[in-house]
Amino acid sequence: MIYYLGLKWRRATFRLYSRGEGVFVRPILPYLQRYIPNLRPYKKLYLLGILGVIFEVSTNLFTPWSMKLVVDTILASGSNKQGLTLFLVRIAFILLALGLIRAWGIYLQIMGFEGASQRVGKDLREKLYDHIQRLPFAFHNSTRTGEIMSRITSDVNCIREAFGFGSLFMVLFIAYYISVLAILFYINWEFTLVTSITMPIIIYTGIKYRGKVDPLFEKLQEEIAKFTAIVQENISGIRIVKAFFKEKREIQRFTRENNTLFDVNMKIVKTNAFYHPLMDFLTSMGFVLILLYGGKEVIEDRTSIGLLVAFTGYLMMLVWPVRMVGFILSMIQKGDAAAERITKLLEEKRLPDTGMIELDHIRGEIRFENVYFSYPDSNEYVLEDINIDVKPGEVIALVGATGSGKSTLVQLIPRFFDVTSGRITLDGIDIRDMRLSNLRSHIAMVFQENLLFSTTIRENIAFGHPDATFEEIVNVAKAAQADGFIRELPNGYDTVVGERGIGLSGGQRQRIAIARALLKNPKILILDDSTSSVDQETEHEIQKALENLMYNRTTFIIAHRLFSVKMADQIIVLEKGKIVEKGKHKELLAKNGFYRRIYNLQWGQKESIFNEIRENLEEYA
Amino acid sequence: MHNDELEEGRVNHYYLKRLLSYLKPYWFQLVISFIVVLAITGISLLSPWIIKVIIDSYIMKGKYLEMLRMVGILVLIYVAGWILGNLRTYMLSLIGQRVIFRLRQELFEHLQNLSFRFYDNTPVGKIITRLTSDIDALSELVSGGIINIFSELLMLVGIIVIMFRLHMSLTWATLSTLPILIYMFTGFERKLLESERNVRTTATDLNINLQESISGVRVTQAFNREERNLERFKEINESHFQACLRSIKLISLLWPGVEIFWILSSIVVVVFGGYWLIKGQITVGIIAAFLTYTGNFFGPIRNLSQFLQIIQRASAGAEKIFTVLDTKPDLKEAPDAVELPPIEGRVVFNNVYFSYDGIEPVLKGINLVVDPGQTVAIVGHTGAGKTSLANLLCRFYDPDEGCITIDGYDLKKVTFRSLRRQIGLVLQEPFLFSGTVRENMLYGKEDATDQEIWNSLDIVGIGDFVRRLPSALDTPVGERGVSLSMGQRQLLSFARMVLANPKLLILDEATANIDTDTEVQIQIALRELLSGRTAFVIAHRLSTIREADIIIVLENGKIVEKGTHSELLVLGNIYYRMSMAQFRDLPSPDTEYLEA
Repeated sequence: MIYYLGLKWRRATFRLYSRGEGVFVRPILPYLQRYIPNLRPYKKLYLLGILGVIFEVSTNLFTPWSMKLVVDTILASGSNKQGLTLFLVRIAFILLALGLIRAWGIYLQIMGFEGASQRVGKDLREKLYDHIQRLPFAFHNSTRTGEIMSRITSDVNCIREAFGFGSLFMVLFIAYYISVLAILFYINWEFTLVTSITMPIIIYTGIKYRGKVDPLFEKLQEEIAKFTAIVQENISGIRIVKAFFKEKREIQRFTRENNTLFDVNMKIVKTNAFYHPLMDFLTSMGFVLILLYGGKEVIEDRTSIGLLVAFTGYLMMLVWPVRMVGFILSMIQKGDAAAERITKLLEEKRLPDTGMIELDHIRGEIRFENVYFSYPDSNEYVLEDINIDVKPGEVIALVGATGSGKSTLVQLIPRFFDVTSGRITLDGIDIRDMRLSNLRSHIAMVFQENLLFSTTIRENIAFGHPDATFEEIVNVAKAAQADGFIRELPNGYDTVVGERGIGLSGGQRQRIAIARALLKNPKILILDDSTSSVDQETEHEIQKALENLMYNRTTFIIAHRLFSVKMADQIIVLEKGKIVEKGKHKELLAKNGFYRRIYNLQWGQKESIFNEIRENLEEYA
Repeated sequence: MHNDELEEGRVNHYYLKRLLSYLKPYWFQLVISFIVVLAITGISLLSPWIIKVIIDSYIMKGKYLEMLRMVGILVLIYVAGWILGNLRTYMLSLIGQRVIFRLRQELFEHLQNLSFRFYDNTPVGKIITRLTSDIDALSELVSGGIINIFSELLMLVGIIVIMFRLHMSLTWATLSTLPILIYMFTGFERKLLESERNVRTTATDLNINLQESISGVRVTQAFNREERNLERFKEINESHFQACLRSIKLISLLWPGVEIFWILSSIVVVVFGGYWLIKGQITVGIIAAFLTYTGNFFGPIRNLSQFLQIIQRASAGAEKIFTVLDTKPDLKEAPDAVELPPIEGRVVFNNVYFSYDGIEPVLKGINLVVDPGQTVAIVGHTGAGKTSLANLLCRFYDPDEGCITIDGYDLKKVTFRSLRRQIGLVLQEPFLFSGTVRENMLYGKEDATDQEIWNSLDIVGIGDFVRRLPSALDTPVGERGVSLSMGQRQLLSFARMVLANPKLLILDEATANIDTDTEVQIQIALRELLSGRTAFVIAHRLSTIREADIIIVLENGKIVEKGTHSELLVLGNIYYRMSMAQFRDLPSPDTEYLEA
C-alpha cells in the first residue's frame, strides 16, 4: 500500500504564518477539509462505522479487567474453592458475548468507513472525469495525459484512503487512547504516569520514521519510473542500438540506473532496519517499567497481582494504536496533498457556456471579424487581425508553414478556444451567443492524427451519432472509401480496433475518421488534411473520400495536398499569425508572392517531375 | 497483460534451485544472518518466560532485589534484540538487493546480445515485465524469505514446546483453537487473493478507458460525446467499485475472524487456567505467559500460510527470467572474424534466400551488384521484402542461403562492430532517446566536438531550430523533454547519422512520415550526403527515387524490375504504374493525356 501512496509527505500541516499584524494558525489539512461535504451522502455508513468503533473499544476494555477478576478472586479465595467454577464459567460466557459483539463491531467499522470511502472515491472519479472532458483545448495541450491520469487514479485513492482506513484508525486511536488512559488513571494515576512515559516517545519515533521513509519511497517510485523508461526505450529502440553498435553504452546507462535503484532500496532498508527494532525496543521498555514499578507496588502490598495483569493488558491494547500514529498521520497528510492537486484541477476554468441560441438548421456562412488570439498566460498573439468572409458551401484552404497559426484558426470555429478580441459569427450570430453543444453539433472535424477508440469499427463510426442504423453506417463508410477494407477485416464492422484490438494503418484510420465525420452530416467541415504515410492507392482513395465529404458543405481545410488547394474557393496564406495573401490558386500564382514561393517549394517539384516524365515518354514513344 | 499473470499452484524445482544458486556468493552472510535469526527467535521465546519467572518467583514472593536483577537481564535481552533486529533486516535485505541487482544486470546484458529474431517474437511489454515485475516476484524469496520462514517455524515449534513445558493440559486446550486460525488463513486468503486480482483487472480497465478518454478528448469535444462517454466511464467505475467492495467485504470478515480466534483462545486460557489455578496446579505467571504465547501464534501462522504463495510466485518469475537468459543469440560473431576495413562500397547480394520463420521465404534468390558510390532505390508494395533486404545488409539476420559481401568480405566473417559502425541506418519511425540533443547526437559519434555537432545539424537544416531551443544542445528531448514534431525528430536522426559519417547508408522509408516542408529540406541534405557513398533507399516518393542510379522493384521477395528511372518508365510495367499513381492528385488535363 505504501508503494501506491508514494506521494509527497508534507512535513507540517500546522504552520504558523506571521503576517504583519499578527500570527494565525493555518487550518489543519486545508485541502482535505474541502472534501468533507463529499462524505455527507454517506453519513449513515460513517455512523455505523463509529458505532463499530464503540462496540470494539468498549467490549475490549473489559478483557484485562476480567483477568484481574479471575486472578484476584482465585488468589483471594484461599482454601474456599466453592463457587469458583461457576464464577469462571460466568466470566467465560461474558467474554464470549463481548467478543462476538467486538467481532461484529470490527465488521461494522470496515464496512462503514471503507464502504463509505470507496463510494466517495467513485463519486470523485466521476466528477473529475466529467470535468476533464469539458476543459478547453488550452488545458489539454499543456497537460500530459499521464498527469491527468494520476489525478484521477492515485490522487483520488489517496483522498479515499484518508477518508477510509486513515479516518478509521484515527478514530480508533483516539477512542482507545482516551478510554484506556482514563481507566488507567482511575485505577492508579501514579502507576499510569510512570508507565505511559514511553508512549509519546514511540509516537514521536513513529512520526519521525514516516518523515524519513516517505520521501524515500517517493524517490523509489521516481527511480522505478526512470528504470522502466530506460528499459522501455532500449527495447523499443533496439534496432537503432544495434545499428549504431551501442550495446555497451546502453549497458552503462542501465547499470547506472540499476545502481541508483539499489542505493535507494538500501536507504529504505537502512531506515527500516533502524526504526522497526527501535520501536519494538521502546514498546518492550513500557513493559519493563510496569514490572519495575508494579512489582514494587505488589510486593509492598499496595496493588494486587491481578491489577498488575490488568494493567499490562490495558497497556498492550495501546501498543498498536500508538505505533500506527505515524502511519495514520502520513496517510492523512498524503490525502491532503492529493486534495490540493485535485482542487487545482477542479478549479481549471471551463469555457463559458452562457449562450442560449439554438439553431436547428444553419446555412453555413462564417465570418471572422478582426479576430485576435493569444493563449492564456501569454502576451504573444498567435493570430492577429484575421478577417475572413465565407459564403455557405465554400471551400477555404489554409496554407502556411508549421506554426503559422493554421490549426489554431480552425479550432476557434467550434470554440475549442475563445477569441481574445474580435468575433466569429455563424449565419450572422456571434458563436459565443450559441449554446456550445448546439454550435458543435453543426461542425465536424477530421484531425491530422485520428484517434480511434478501442471498440468496434461500427461504434467508432457512430461516435457522434450513437443511434445511427447499420445501413447509415455502411453508407458513410462507402462514401469514405472505407467499406472495402472494413469488410476484409476478421469481423467486418464488428472488429475491435485501438489499443485492445487490431491496429489499422494511418490511411485506414483516416478513412474511418472521415466516415465518422460524414455520419454527423454537418454543415461545416474542418479538415486537417494529413500527409501521413500512405501508399499511392490509398492516397487516391482518400482523395475521393474527401471530395465526397466536402460536397455542399462549408469547408475549412488545412492543405498539404495540391489537390485541396487547387479546388479551393479561397486560399488563405498565413505567416506568423497574419493573413498575408488571399485569393484563388491562379490569382495567387500570378501574384508571384508568398504563395508562389510555398507552391514552388512544396508542389512545384512534383509538377516538374511530372513534366519530365511526360517528356521522357514522348521521346520513347 | 492478462495472459501474462503469474500462474499459480506449480513450483518448478529446477528454476527454483537455479535461483537459489544466486545466493551462493553470500553463504557467509547467510550463515551469520541465520545465527542472528536464531538468536532473535530465542529472544522472543525467552522474554515471556522471563516475565513469568519475575511474576511467579519474585513478585509473588516479595523478592524485590532479585526481581530488579531479573528485570535488568530482561532489559539486556531487549537491547540485544534491538541490535540483532537491526542486523537481520539489514543483512537479509542487502543480500536480496544484491541478487536482484545481479539478475537485472545479467538479464539486461543478455538482452543486448539477443538478435532480432527474439525481438520479432516477443512484444516489448513482455520484455519489460521480465525486468520489472517478474524480478519483483523473486525479491521476497531472496530477501531472506527462506530464513525468515525457518525462523517462523522455529518460533511456532518453540512456543508449543515451551507451552508444553509450562503446562501440558493447558497447552492441549489452547491448541484446540488453532485449526480455526489455520482455516482462516488458508481458505480465506485464497478468496482474498482472487478478489484482489479482480480489483486489479477492473483498475486496468479503468486506466485504459481513462487513457483513451484523455488522449481522445479533442475528438470527444468535436463530436459532442461528453455525456455518452461519461455513461461509459460510470459503468466501468461502477464495476471497479463493486470489485473493491467485494474485497472489502472479505477483509471485514477476515479481521473479525481473527478476533474470534483471539477471544476463543483467551477464554480457553482463562477458563482452563482458572480451573487449574483453583486446584493449585498452575501459577498466575503461567497464565500470563500463555496469553502472550497464544497472541504470538498469529504472526507465524499467517506468514507460513503465505509462504507457499511466495515460493510459487518466485518459481513462476524465475522460470520466465531464466527462459530469456537461456535463449541463445542466433547470430554470433565468427571466432575468426576480421575487422572490416574502411568500406569502399561494393555490395554484392549473391543468390540470397531468407525467411523469418524458416517456413515462408521473404526473399527468394536476390542477386544484386552495387558499385561504390551508387544509390539503390528499392520500391515495392508493403511486404515485398524491402526492409528484409536492409536488415540483412546490417546483419541483423543471416540469409538462409547465398551470401552478401561488402568489398569482397562476407558479412558473416567480419566483426559486428566494424560492420555496423560503418553503416548508417535511418528508419521510418525516428527514434530519439530521452536525454539532451547533444546526448542523442553523440550516439552517432561519442567524441564529437560541439562544432562537429552543429555542422551536422546545419547540414540537415535543423541547426537554426536547435539554436532557438531553450538550452540549445542541452535541451532534453524524447518523452520527458520538449515535444518535437515527427519531422523535427526525423531531421535530428538524420543529423545523428551525418555525424556518424557512415560509409554505407540505408534509409528505410525515412521520409515517409514527414510533411512536405521538411521533405524538401531533407532532399537537399540527402543530395550532399549521398554523393560518394553507397546507399540503399527504401521509399515510395518519386521525388526521392528518381535520382537513384539503380532502381529495383521487389515483388514477393524477387527482383522483378531493375534499371534507371527512365529505363523503367519506358518499360511501362510495374514501376510505370506506381509512378503514375502518384500523379492522380494532379487534376490537370495532362493526366487525362497520360492515361489515354
